[in-house]
Amino acid sequence: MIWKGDEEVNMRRYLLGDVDEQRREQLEERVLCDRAFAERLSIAQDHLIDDYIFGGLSEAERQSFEKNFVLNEERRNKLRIAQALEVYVTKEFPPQRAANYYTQVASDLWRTAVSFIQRHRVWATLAFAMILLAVLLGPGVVRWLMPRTISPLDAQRARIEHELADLNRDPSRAVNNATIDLALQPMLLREGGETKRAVITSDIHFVRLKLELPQAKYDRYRSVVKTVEGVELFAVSDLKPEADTGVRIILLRIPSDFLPNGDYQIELQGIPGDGQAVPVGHYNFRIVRNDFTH
Amino acid sequence: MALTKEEFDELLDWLDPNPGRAADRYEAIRQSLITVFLNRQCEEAEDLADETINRVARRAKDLKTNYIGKPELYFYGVAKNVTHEYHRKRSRVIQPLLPPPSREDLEPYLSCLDECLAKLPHENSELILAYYQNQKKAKIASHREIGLRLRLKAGALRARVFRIRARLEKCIVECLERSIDSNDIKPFII
Repeated sequence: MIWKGDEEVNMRRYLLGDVDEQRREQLEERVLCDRAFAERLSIAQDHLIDDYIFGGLSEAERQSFEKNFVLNEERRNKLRIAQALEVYVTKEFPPQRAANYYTQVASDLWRTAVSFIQRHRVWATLAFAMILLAVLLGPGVVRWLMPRTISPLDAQRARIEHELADLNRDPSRAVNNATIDLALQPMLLREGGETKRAVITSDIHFVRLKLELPQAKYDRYRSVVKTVEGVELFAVSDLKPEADTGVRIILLRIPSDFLPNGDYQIELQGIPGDGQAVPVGHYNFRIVRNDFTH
Repeated sequence: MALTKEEFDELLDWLDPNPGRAADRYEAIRQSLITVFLNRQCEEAEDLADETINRVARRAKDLKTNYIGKPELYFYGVAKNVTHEYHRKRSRVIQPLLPPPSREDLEPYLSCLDECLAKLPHENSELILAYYQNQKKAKIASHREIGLRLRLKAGALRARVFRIRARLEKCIVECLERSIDSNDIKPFII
């Protein structure tokens, strides 16, 4: 049977007496048959003792330790040695000495590196020249060699936007499919209030967002759907204003599969004659799924 | 009842035809059995390990011909029976906690620790002291720092510290035993 999960966590639970019989037997068979595993258990035992002495156990673990960690002479000695180490390092190895140790290690590594380079001067010079060449010429070479490829994310976005464009150009594609409507007003700077939400059940295929226009100034609009953190998900262009009970709106149709649980924001842009997009308004909404798919 | 030499030799031979490897395997099994008994709340773990070994050794001649499988697993089966018998015979005595040590309790350990650290190569003694220098969360951060500076991953650092500590512990135990022996009062003979 495979010993799953974090090995040290399981070893600790075993040492604290917090495992069921099956797992206990698995571990014990392995202790007997696998010496490397038995050594790792010894290390885990030492860590447990250290954590007990140095206050690294939770209250529950501490109680389990004091109740279940049977002390023979060897373990008693380990405990006392850990206690002695704790006292000794506080007294004899203050932080400054630790800092000096680290500096010494770094200095030793540097001296070793310098000595190696001095012994292999020719190869070191050649290697340095190659690295310099790679740094100077590398980016250009990479750009020249790499074909223009589209990333998988960009490809996916392109597919989504293609489908959305088709759907919003030809709404008949959504006929005979259950659709949920959500009317949204543009967010004003000082506006508060509850975010409107659409509850999507398993029978809903499309979400139809009715974006109320503050003023119908443009013939064409573009909507960019984002997360509330501002990450762009997809955009739909070439949207035309429509009338809905005396109010000018932009109708945005989105397959429900494109909208997992969460909060969204739509940035609506007007497209004037010169093609330069002009922000018109922001619309927030929330999707709540009751279909256990997202 | 103690093992006879013949029984012990049969046992070793069953573990491995090569005497050196057999002894090595025997010792590993014994240590593992002690671990098993300790973690099954058996206070006399060494005695129970020896009892388990004795029972297996008495059947070693028969096992050599009739048993198929890892000897370790056979030992384990016997150990489980020994555990059940142990717990049936006595209800577990809740051991008193080791009280926090006084300075006097720790003095022999500190003295031996000092002596044994001096015997370690300087880099090893500094490493183990740096490793234990901080407590709790600070210790984890300092371990990461030590590991980075020595180009060691956490597991490799811990394994290295464990090996140094094992040598240190062995040295300290020997030092403590020498201290006890030297403090024995010799009989005054007239």
